[in-house]
Amino acid sequence: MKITREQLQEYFEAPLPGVEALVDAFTFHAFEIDGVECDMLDVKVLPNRIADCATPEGVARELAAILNLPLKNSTVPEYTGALAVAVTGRGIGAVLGVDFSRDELLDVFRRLQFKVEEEGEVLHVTAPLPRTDILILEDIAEEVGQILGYDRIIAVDLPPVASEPDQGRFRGIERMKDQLVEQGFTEISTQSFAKKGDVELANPMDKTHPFLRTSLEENLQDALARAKKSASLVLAPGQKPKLFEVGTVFLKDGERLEIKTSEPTTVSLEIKYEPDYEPMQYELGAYKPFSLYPFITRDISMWITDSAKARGTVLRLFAEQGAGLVRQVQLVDQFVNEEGRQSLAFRLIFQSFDRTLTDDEVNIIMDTIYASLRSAGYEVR
Amino acid sequence: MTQKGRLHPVTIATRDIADIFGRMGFGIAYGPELEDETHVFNGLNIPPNHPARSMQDTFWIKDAPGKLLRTHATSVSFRELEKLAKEGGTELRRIMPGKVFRNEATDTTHEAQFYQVDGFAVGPKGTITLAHLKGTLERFYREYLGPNAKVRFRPSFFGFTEPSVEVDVWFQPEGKEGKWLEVAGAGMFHPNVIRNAGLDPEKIAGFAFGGGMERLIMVKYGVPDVRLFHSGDVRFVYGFDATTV
Repeated sequence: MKITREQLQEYFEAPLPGVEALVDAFTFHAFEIDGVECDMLDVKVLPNRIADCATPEGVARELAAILNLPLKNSTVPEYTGALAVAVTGRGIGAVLGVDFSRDELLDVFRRLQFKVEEEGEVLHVTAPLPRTDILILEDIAEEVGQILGYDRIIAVDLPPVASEPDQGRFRGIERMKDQLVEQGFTEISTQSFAKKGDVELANPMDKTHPFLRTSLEENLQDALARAKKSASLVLAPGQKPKLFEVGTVFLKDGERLEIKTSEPTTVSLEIKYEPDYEPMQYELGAYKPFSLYPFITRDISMWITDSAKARGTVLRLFAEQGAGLVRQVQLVDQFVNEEGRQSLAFRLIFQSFDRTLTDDEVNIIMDTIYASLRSAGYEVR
Repeated sequence: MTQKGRLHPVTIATRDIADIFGRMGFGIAYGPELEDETHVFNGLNIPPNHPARSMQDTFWIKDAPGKLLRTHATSVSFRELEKLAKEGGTELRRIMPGKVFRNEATDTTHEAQFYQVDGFAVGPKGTITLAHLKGTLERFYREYLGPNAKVRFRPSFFGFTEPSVEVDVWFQPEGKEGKWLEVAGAGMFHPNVIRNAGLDPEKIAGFAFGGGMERLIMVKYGVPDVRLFHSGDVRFVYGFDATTV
């Protein structure tokens, strides 16, 4: 619901705080604010509060409780027929994990115009009629948490558990993945929707893929064909892509987890329960986007004297002279001839992030690379 | 020599998540992706006309009334609670990393299928509270995103929890400005859910949470588009590490 600060102000004698403070008041005590334009707030009233907060007056009433400000010309709340909920401070504390004092609880109920009858430790709390969402102790605990603020809840660690947590099936699956990776397979993930299958969606989003997949095979072959095209970008020279996927397939007699490899493997693809296996863990670097444009490769080889020093110099020259288009440098060959001369051979991969490169422009870059290598004293073969 | 292959970032993240939650006593549970209304909605206190249903766009199965693709993995939580009830147990902690489906338009931050990590902890009433939820999530995000991560709760509404909260995490990547990110929905299981699973809500209570995994990976490693994850493109899988000579 869209409402301005000015509209809200009409319900209060006291001046309301600024728009920013109002946004915070709603966000942390009642509703998300979907947007703000000048002094207009777009209040996203939660579905369980439509009954009492769908009107400007309802939203103002909620704000009055949050800010603890009296409403102007407030109508007397109606409780006839409303349900009384019996709560105790201890009961509310058992939900929120904070023991608020009786006075604080009573203050929250006063602000919300909840009627309270005290009976020893028990408080019989009745919400005004439009509050159809207040039915049980947990509902009241939520009101307390919201009005006093969830920042009042202090983080507490869970108590230790008696038994070792069961991760056996997960670890069985992960062990298999580790073995496949060891054999050179790379894991991919593909869509569960398919052109054909045994189970059809009533409301598919992509009308060309209205079924659920019966096998991972088709997606895997498609991914393999694409992987072959980009193999030299991601794999070492001479390696061919090998892929696998672990995913759910849907058959007439139900769903099951399938493990599919793009070529035969000696790894057993039967899921075992392995509670003691420790899956390999990896540290990933920041994501480096790939270009959607085609790449061009060029090979270059040269005679060098000091291998370690030469590599550093040559790589620096590639980077400096590559016009920012050298995506990758791979060492493809190195040998020492009978006279003791050393040779290094590199494959350079050129690719732009914003256009398709032409052979001509790559040739020009290669010429400058050749020239700079020669002037650095290397004999290009 | 064979070059080693690579794992998909979702697998790598799942292992990190399983490890952190494992040290807090959480096991891992699995359940069907093609579910029924009982486990996705009705049992979770989201009856046919409940307002929460309008918040989730669901894929329904043709010629199979009541069958659908799960929109969250709390359906597995419900199955685990049912098991706990049958076994007569009083405490359980589980996470459910798995694929979920939403029938919504896709863009750089939305996909019709993605991975979610849902989880829960239940125990004798009063032993597991909203304060433990905060403690558990804070520890998780600190270990996963970095030591300066902080958690805050905001009011929300989900049928299966009461109270319900949105979980924001403060994340500051190295050398960049920090900000609050909405990462999960959570709360205390609604007593009706505990009861529907066959447990006594007077005796058993606990928290539940769920958040998208791709979003977490996107934030942590700077992935610009969620649609890269399940495209089957190896260039995405290889986009996380330096490939050198």
